[in-house]
Amino acid sequence: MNLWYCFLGALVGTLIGVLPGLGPIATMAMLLPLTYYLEPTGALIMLAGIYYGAQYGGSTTAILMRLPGESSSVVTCLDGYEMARQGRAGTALATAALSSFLAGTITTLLIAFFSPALTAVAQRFGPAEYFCLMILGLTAAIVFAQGSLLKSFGMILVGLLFGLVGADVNTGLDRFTFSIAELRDGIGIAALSMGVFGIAEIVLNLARPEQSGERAQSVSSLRLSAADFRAAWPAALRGTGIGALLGILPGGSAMMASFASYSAEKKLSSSPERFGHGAIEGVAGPEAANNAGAQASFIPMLALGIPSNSVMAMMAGAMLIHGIAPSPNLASVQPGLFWGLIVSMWLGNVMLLIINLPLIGLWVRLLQVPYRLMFPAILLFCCIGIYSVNYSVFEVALLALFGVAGIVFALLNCPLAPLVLAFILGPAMEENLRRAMLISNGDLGIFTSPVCIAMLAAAVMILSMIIFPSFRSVRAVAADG
Amino acid sequence: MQSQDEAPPAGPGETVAEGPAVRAAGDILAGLLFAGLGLAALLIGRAYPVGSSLDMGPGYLPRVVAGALVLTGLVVMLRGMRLRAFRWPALPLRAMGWIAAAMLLFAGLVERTGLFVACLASILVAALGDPQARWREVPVVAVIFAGFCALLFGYVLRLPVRVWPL
Repeated sequence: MNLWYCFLGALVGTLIGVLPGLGPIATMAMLLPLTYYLEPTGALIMLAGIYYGAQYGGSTTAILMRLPGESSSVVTCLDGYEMARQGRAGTALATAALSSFLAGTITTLLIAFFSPALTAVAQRFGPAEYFCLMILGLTAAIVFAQGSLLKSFGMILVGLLFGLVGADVNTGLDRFTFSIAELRDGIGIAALSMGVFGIAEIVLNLARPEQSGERAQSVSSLRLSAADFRAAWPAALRGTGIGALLGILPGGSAMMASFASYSAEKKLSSSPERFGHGAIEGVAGPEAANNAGAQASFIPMLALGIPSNSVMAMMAGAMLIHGIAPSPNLASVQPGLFWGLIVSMWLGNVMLLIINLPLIGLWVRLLQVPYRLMFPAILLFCCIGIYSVNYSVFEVALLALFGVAGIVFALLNCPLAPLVLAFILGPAMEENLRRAMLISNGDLGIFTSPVCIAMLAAAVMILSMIIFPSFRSVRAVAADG
Repeated sequence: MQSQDEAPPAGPGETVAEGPAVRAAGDILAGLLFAGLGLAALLIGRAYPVGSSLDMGPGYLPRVVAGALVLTGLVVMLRGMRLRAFRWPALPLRAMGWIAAAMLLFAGLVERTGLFVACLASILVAALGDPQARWREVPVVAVIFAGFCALLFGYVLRLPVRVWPL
């Protein structure tokens, strides 16, 4: 049965993710309510499938139309679209699919090995350690977010503020509820994330002038020649390594991974001038890296209970809705869910191969559906989805409100990922901080345990990376994408 | 409105390729927004008991977070003003207004008239926000989608929701 959800998730994720302009986050936000009717394990497996599917769908549009569905496939446009223009679209698509599959397989094994070990460490954490860990996560989110550091910091504070809405856990006092009964339980994660990512995206797409020209390239044979294969597989392996490493870092993202892999391939290549003109390594490396990065970002969440980016924040939100608190205890309390999710990662990658290669003609046809026909359907699904969470009309209004907020923030160049992350982490941070201070009788010394110091030091280190010019330039390139 | 040399607004989560005037405007307005949100939170939350660091009351963190937000907002704003340029960002008012209206209409109707009518109405209103809308096509699309949603959610997924007005 869960196999079926995994397939369904990957299929629907690809279906929506392949639509130009809809990245994995927007796709997940829109489809989140669909998973409410399922068992928790099935729901998470399906969401993970949606994530991989949407992530992969972005590469298809990047290669065929030079439209990156999301920031991590910007790099794929460079050489993938060039290959398509040279009539090698099929080869590029097959390379992307096979590298993603390779990366996914290796990263799944990594997760299966690493998460339990990390979990064992995390289980000895007290409230102070937890608080420091979350500080580390948020610091990383600021540094690895695109654009201005200060604005990311501001967005974190806004997210924390939104997270404070609702009855206080300790005293039951209503905070920022404006006497609205529905707000006593806090703002719904679904309304917030779907509003700022999904609805805002619909409106910004509508307001954007019609995409000019860039017709989809036709797809040639999906076969890779022996020479292609020889060039692609080492690049894919290196990309996997880079992606897994960057993905494990809290706040590290698939986007950083694909950029880092591309520049590594270009540096290592004996003929760097081919890059940008259809070099197959420029597709294999970044595609492997972004898949590995996307998947490795599950490690901090599964092992430590800390979502490390906005996609994981949404997974954590889905868990909370199903009454499962993301925590290091997940593996011992819910072994079925934990291992089910890990097995489904690999299966999800298999399904992507099955879904994508034979059905590529279908996806190409889907790319031709005009946006004026697509957006009403997307809008309705969002409205009905949010309404059916609690059968609450208020949530639909909240969705509209956050949609408007998301548009305003996006236009002011305020990154949205830190907002959603802080919103998810906020309540847990407050609880742990208050508990830690109670335990220590108000003595800040509780934050000087070795684990706390190590994590705070790591936070300072990540923050100081911003001084290095090479890191700044990667960050700037990523922001321009 | 938008000038030719300006990059189209990027999707949420990405940032817009920026010139100095756009960057300055983004900083100044974002700073004001942050500071305003922080101030509002301080005002609304002024009665929440703060407690002490040892025993934090419900008002402790709201005050810290809101205070930090006001400060951050001011710094972001000052940084923007240093660039000595300003251009209002083009807010997609038409799309934004009609889409929001469509959602609110859906919210208002769904329990009164059922799913089908609510879908129908919100598609028609949403189309007003679409500069590419073809008005002969819109009613047809609306009926098809509303019918599809009524079927899918009302009969296939069996949501406990009213489908028809009567």
